[in-house]
Amino acid sequence: MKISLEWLKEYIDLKGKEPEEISSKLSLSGTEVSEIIYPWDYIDNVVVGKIIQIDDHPDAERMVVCKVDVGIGIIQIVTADTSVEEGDVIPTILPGGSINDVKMKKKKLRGVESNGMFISLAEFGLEDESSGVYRYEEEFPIGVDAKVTLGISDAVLDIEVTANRGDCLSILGISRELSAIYDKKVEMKIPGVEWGKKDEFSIKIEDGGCYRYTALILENVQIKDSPIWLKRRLIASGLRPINNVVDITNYVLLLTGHPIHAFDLSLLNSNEIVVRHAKKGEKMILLDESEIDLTEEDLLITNGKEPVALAGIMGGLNSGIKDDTRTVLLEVACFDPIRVRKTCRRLGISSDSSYRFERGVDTANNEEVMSLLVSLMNELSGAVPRSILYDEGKPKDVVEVHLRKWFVDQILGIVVPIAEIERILKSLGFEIKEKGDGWDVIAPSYRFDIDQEIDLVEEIGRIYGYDKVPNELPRILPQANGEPKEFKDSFKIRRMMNAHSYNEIVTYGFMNPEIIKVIQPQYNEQISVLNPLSNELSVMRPSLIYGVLDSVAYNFKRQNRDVKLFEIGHTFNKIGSRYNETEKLCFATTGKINEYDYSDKRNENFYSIKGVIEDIFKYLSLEPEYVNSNKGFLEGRSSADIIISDEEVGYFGLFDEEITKDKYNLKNCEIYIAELNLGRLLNKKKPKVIKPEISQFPRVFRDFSLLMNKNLTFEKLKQEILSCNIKELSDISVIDIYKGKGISEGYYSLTIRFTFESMKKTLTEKAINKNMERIQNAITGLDVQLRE
Amino acid sequence: MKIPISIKDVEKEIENISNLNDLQLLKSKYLGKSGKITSLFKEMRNLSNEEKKEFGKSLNVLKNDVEELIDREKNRIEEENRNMKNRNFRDDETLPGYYTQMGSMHLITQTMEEIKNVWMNMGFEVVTGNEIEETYYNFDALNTPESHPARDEHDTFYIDEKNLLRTHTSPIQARVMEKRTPPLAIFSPGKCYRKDTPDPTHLPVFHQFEVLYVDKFVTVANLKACLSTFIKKILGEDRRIRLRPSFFPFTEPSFEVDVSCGICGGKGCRSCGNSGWLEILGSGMVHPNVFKSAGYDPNVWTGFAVGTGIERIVMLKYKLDDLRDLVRNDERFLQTFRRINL
Repeated sequence: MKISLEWLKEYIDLKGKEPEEISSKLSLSGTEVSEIIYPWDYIDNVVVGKIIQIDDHPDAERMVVCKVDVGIGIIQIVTADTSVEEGDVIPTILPGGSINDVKMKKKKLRGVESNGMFISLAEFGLEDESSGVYRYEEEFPIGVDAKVTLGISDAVLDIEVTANRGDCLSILGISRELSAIYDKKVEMKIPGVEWGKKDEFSIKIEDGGCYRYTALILENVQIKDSPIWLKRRLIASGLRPINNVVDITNYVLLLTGHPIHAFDLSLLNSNEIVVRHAKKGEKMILLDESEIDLTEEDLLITNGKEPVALAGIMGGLNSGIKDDTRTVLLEVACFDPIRVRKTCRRLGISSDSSYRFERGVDTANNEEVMSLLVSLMNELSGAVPRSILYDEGKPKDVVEVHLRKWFVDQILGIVVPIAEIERILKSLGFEIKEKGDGWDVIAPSYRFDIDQEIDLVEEIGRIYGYDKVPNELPRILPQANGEPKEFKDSFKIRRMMNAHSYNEIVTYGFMNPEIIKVIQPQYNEQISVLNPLSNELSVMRPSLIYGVLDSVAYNFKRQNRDVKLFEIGHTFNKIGSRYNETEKLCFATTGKINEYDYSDKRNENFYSIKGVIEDIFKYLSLEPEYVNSNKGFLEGRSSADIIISDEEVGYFGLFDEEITKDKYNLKNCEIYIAELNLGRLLNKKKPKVIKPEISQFPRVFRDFSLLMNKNLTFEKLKQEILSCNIKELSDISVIDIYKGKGISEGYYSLTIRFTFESMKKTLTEKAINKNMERIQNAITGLDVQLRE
Repeated sequence: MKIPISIKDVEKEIENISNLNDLQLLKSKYLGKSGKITSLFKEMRNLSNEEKKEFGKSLNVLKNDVEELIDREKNRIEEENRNMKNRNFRDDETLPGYYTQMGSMHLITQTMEEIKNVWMNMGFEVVTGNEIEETYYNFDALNTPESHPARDEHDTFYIDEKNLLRTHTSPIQARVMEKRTPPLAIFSPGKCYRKDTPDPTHLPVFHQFEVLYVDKFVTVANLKACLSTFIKKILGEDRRIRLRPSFFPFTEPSFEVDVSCGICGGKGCRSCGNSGWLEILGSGMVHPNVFKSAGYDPNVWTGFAVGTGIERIVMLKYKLDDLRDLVRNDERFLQTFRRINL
């Protein structure tokens, strides 16, 4: 909301206070000032000038040449307004001044020098069209700032009010805040007004959504332009002046925060106002000419038959003020904030009126608001009250809260003087009565955020100033729990992935369901968002591969051919009617195994990604099985599932190259991808005590080249050898693999290194040879030959 | 008696020697047990005392010279051999080395970890939760009744009538309060969702941490001290904070917390909109209604809560101008923030 300081100053003494200081005080007491604006700063260096001499223009009949006293000297101005007279006092832009970024320079108009410019009201925005330059009717000293004389030199504060402080959405509301901050009184007089006579009119409230409805009929209304003082205040507040009646309703709204509606009584076509909820299927046309469909939640102002306004939001087109309106029905009402909000949200409309009703409007000031309205209407349009003040419904009950002095100090952590507490509460409009260990406090009718003691502590704190509260570290008892094991472990897994050169990514938790249909067509437990931003972000991810693949594609399309990415995050699925979340790790790579070693030309492959997985399992002290995978989105012959005690805990391999090409538009891109169910793995992780068993006696290596049948697995071979139970055999590792020349069809060569060591003695050649013999015997049953 | 060998003879012979073996042979030829010079020493016993003296002296000189000559030659050959062996000399010392590059942790993870450590050091424990949350824990338990605007479909993603995507990590705290009794000091990090269209300063999915401290006699002064410690550890010791009264349903009083601008130090500049302050987090004293929902007696227990988006802190700390960079996951961006000191 825009708050004009010029207007504020009518109600509170702000002498000597700069706008910056006022803004900072307001912000630090809870009313945020987001900007300080000068609405008329597009006109600069304009003073009161007086014409002391007028001469004809030698070359132009439609211009005259004026000598103008501008206080600091006499300047010459050529003007096209030939109606000016000697002695006229006019707002004048000095040389060097500007309007709308156009600088006033010395120039010649038809050969005669002109050094400034006279200003019209239209140029100040205070008139739609001006017939000529503005001539002051009042006396002002020559040479003073013309903006001061027109009341438009002051700053305007753009304030943001929190949802609970609807009472601050007005000049009066901000005056009350400043009154508490600066310890000054709000000076506001409500004019005494006489109402008219009772006539045939009636008001009926048929829905509890209307708390109170106050109305009055005015006659002899004359629609015309508003005076400058009123226009400038509306403009400063960001509203456009329309005509005196509409302007006055807006003016009083801005002043008091209470929305007002004006009907043309002759267009109402009835003698009653009925407030009710809409009927099913009912429609109406609003002031802005839009037709809306109504529901039973909507609150309507009707003439007994049809709607004439959408309560608290906008008037209807049929009953608004026209240029020939003579009789006006003024409405000052109070509506349920939630009802107004629901209707506004559903219809996607908002108005100055609904904005305030949504945040709460005083239910006790209707009569005062009406008095202000009637007095202004009378002054500016000649209108007089024809009717009495109709008043249905009643103000809300007052809220009374007991405030304990020690409680204030205990929450704030500082002793606030009793006199300060009393001063602050009183200046904010609270009624206080000393009682027991504190006070009984009655909240003013315009405050909707006070219903318990703590709310009063906040009032005291924010005005007293939180800068006065010291810093005192609490004595927090140490928490034995620290951080959960899984949380810590998943951080360690991140570090491991970093060590393997993978970069961590973060993606959204929701995704496009279309791609699931392509990659996991059999998947049907997905969870949808009821109100997604778009279809692309409408289902919760069942797997992390989608986000990871998108990111690989994003990088690949930006000429990055060597990519290593991983993500750790939640995935979602439904088990019956329950939602289940699982933490997973997904990583993907394409291109070189080691981008930063230019001697290493190898590309990522099944074994390079498997190595990363094995390293993770070593860290977790788990020994999984790797079995054939039949995931549709992996290439069957370059992938595997990972099994631990008959449970699948992950998979990895080459991502389907067709999908890479067709769905991700990546050409020549081999993506190896893996996903592990981290939640399950971290649960299974064995807390193993690692006891280093390092022999003091020398180790002996024996390398063994074997010709293996392709159908025989290394795992099988290993199991056969391990079944010999050779105590001194401490490790079996693969040191080379060879396919190609010299190897018969259906076979490949595998070189295995056996490590023998004993904790007790140096192993003799004889003992080792005996063990090697046992190994050879163990594998004779397999289709494998010793190579020379 | 005259010495029949001169150093010149040895020098001549050495010229033809190019390996240590031949040199060794030469050495034994002169200095070995039955070498020429050794033999001459043996012949000395046949000489008179006077002759012995003079002959011995010259012979010693010769012996030393030969030894020295052979040693020098030995060093030369060894040096030559070494040079022959080391064929793996660099071609160009400015060529890059081979290495394996550490991967990077995401800026969100790094920052979250840093923040977590600060609060853990102050005595807080970490508690996590699910992203799909019951509406009750996300709103009702936190004094946000059905009529509250935050519950609107415009702001919150719903899964069904009873479940939604959590809009903050506070439901974790509501759940902890329901299960445990005070005192409590918890830190809850995690992914959150709000219905914002992505733009440079908004993402529909973001990360948050929230802090809850419940004990007897917790004050605004305690809150200020914890916040100040947190800000100084994360953004720098020279940063100051101020509390600006605000409104959140689950705290009363509520505060927006501003941190002094890191660029101008609080004087006011372009990046802080001339105010000298930047909004960084929300906080406040836990609302008595929240305690009531949890079954705590608000006359006994007080507490504070703090919460903010990690993205906002990341933006301030690393001066990012577009949050969407954080989810584009361009490796160049990710690698820019590679840190190994975590």
